[in-house]
Amino acid sequence: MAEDRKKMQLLEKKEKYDNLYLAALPVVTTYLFELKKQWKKFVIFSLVAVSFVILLSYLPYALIPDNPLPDTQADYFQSGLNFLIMIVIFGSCFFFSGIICSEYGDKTGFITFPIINKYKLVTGKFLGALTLMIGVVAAFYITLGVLGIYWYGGPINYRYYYSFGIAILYVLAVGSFVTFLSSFMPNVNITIVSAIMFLLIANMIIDSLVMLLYPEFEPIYSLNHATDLISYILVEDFPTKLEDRYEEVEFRNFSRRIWLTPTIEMGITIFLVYTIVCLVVAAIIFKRRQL
Amino acid sequence: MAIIMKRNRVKKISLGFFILSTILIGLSSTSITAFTTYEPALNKGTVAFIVNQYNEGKWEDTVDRELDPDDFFDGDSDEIGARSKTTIKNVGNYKWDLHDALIFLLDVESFIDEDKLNENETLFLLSFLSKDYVDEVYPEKYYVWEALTVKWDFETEEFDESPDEKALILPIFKNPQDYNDLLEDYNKWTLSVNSTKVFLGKEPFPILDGDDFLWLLITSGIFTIARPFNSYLTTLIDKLDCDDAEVKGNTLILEKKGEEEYTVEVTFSDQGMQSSLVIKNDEGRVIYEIAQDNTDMVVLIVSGVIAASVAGILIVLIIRRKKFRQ
Amino acid sequence: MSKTTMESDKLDMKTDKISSIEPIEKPETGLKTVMRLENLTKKFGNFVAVNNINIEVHEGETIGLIGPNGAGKTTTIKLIAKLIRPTSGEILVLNKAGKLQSLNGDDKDLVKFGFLIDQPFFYDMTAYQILRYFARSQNYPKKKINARLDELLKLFKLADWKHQKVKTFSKGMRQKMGIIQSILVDPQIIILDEPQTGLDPKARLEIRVTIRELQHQGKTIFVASHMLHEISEVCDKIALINNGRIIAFDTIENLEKNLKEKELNCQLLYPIPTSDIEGTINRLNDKLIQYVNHFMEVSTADHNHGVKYNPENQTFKIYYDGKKESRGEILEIFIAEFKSNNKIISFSQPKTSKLEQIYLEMIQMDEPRDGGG
Repeated sequence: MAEDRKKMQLLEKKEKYDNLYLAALPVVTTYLFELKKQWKKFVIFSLVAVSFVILLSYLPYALIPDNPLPDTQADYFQSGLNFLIMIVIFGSCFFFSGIICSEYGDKTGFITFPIINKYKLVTGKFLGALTLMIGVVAAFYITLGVLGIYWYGGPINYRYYYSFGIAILYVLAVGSFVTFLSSFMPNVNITIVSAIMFLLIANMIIDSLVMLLYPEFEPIYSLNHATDLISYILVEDFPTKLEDRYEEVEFRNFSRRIWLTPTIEMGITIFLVYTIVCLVVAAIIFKRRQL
Repeated sequence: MAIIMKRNRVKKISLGFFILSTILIGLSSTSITAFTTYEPALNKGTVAFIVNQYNEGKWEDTVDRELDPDDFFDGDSDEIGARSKTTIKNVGNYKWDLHDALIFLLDVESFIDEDKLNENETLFLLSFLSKDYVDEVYPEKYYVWEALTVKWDFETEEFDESPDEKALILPIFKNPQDYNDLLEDYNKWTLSVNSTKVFLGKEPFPILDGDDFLWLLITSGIFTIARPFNSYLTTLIDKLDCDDAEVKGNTLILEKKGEEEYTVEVTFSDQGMQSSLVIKNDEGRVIYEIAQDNTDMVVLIVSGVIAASVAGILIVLIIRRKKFRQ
Repeated sequence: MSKTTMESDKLDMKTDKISSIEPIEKPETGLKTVMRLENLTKKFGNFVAVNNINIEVHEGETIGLIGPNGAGKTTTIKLIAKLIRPTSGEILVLNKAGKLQSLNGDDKDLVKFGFLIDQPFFYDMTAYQILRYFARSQNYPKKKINARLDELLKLFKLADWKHQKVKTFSKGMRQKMGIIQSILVDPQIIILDEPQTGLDPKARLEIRVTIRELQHQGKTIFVASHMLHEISEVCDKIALINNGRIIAFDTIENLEKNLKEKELNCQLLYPIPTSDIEGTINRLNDKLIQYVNHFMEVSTADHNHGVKYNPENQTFKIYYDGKKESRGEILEIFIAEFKSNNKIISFSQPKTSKLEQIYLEMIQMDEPRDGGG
């Protein structure tokens, strides 16, 4: 009797695992397929990332003898990471833009073969694109890190790893934003253009307007503001006081604040809020969107 | 007609010979020039050093009972395993004058013993160090390559993030003979300073000979040479008229007398920086040694080789797979 | 009696005597229903793409959903595929426990479906990579995938292309890829939308052979097409769809027979003046209302299309209820109508009525519509 019960329990457990496996299988398969599908894009963007680092953080120092290296490895990383934002924005636009709209616009996707749950399909695609984009960012960080060792010796400053962690959160936020655009845009190209326009231009305009209208207001809504944390976290004495986190600039009797960085908690929260809001809205639109 | 043709041929041969001669002379003169012209070998980057050996007892018996290595080489240089590093930020062309040398190279300010001088005397001495004064009296300019560096002193622990010296300048005199001119100017300046009433009954600034000057350069930690190193060093000790120094390859060997006689071997790296310093007693036993620490570079090279191998294997696999499919 | 029933609900309400298109309330005992569409309607704004369709599909049947472009075929299939949501109505599908289950719920318990919707486009990968993905994502046994792929690629003559990128494929080859993916994991229900589009005659034949093969394996197949002649020979039954409504559904033989029996031709000696045509038709429609084939009326929505006039051969076509007594009464009405200024020279039932012809005539009676199928 007890043996039967044990057998039953084992069977139930097995069934549970089987169900879990079956539920996860489409996500995993789509994830792996996405990796294969976007592999070339990954190689190209990684090469671009590596080239960016070499072009902007190696050649100017190697070819121009007068051009001084920053004092420390952390300073060097800080200046090199300024260019990461471009890579993340452009990379994310290309990796994430097709996640939803390519399934509708060009019918190139799998949604027209409705053999797997569409949410699982999109989840797999999102995770695949996220992994590849993190890979591109990792290529950037590794190259910059190697150059950091090349110029300054080892070991790599531990705050560089924090910066990498925050950069991953930034990728997640930008990727989610592009996915959100992808959920209602008609095709990939329009999604890419819109995302770039918003992330590069509209964001900047909004920030400038807010700065003009409310000079003392910290732009906690702004992804741009949060990205300052990626490089600013490398500063040895990270500012904890409010007054240390901005610089007051006077221009023709007009005083304005240039925000240097959000606090660590604030920066992480901004990224997470962007991620959650964008993904939730994208999921709602995706649910309602029809082929 | 034939004569004209012959003349033309002679003309052509003469012209060819002339051009060839010009090229050969040009080449030979270039090589002569190259030999006498020095080139900086210093590149941007970081060089680390480590104290490999220190025999405290022997140091006291041989080198100095009063002064420890850290009095010469700063930081924890009297601890085995202590590391220091210098990051070369940039290299540029500049002109130096005696004032620069007094401040940056010879660190004359450190000669002023404020405990033995009152405030007015100190100020008076410092007036001799003012740029206006020095430039007016000693207007000679020296052409240098100047490297801006930051330096971490010898530490047994991990390095602090911020360097101990944020704007250390390494000069490389384009002509090693300039060191001699500098020495002469320094001695003139010192004489003029020492002759003032401030030093009455007190220890004056030292008048240096070539060997002293060379030792001062070595212990300054910023003495750097240009390529070709052997020629540079040989010219330097010749011009400074050093009696106790000799050059072997890239190594400068100094005979010193402390508590006992000892030798100091300073080897210069392929960048012209002091890559090692070995102090030996007269028996040839090492009392103290600072060497270049290449651990980071080894890590970098090993990582590079591993990364290249992995990339290579991947590429080969991809190509083979593609071929297999075809 | 048919194994499968498809109908429009108006038809259900108004028609009671036309056996071939008569709604079947319940399937025959012993036949398992694998899919049922109940009052399925899809509107895009004011446009009704699918209008109150009721379909019941039984296990092992091959159903052809035939209609012109814009008739609502693809919309119906997209509704089944959950690519779009119905405005009203419901789709029930057989689950693994053998019961019908709403498609709105969790689909993990449903029987396996294979779909080919619209013209398939694929990501730019090799055929093998794409098909492997489809197989793996549906938990097809890993060890058997390669053998299955080789088998299907060979069947569709794509074996030599398996490692080529799909972007190098022709339209027809992509179509074949689409069909392969739809049958790859051996699904119980296969739904194909225009499977022969873009294919050459030989490939179209191959598709028909494949469908036959699948029929032998006991699969339930649902094929939508506008190419009646291509599909009809492999289908057990044909459902004609137009303007979002099912206008006829039965076996081909029954459709031909019944539609022929419900048609009369009445030829006049002289043509009716153009100005009188509309008035005459309206008058006749009013008089014939009790005899008119309501199925045809339904299919033509707002128009009185029980009577149709062709000025070229001065012939009226009358779609009636097929009863013998009605035929005589209709003749009397026509004689009364044309006795004064025109003469009836023939009044007969057509000897042959091919499905293709009926289909075309039925379609022509509808207003042209925009939009895809």
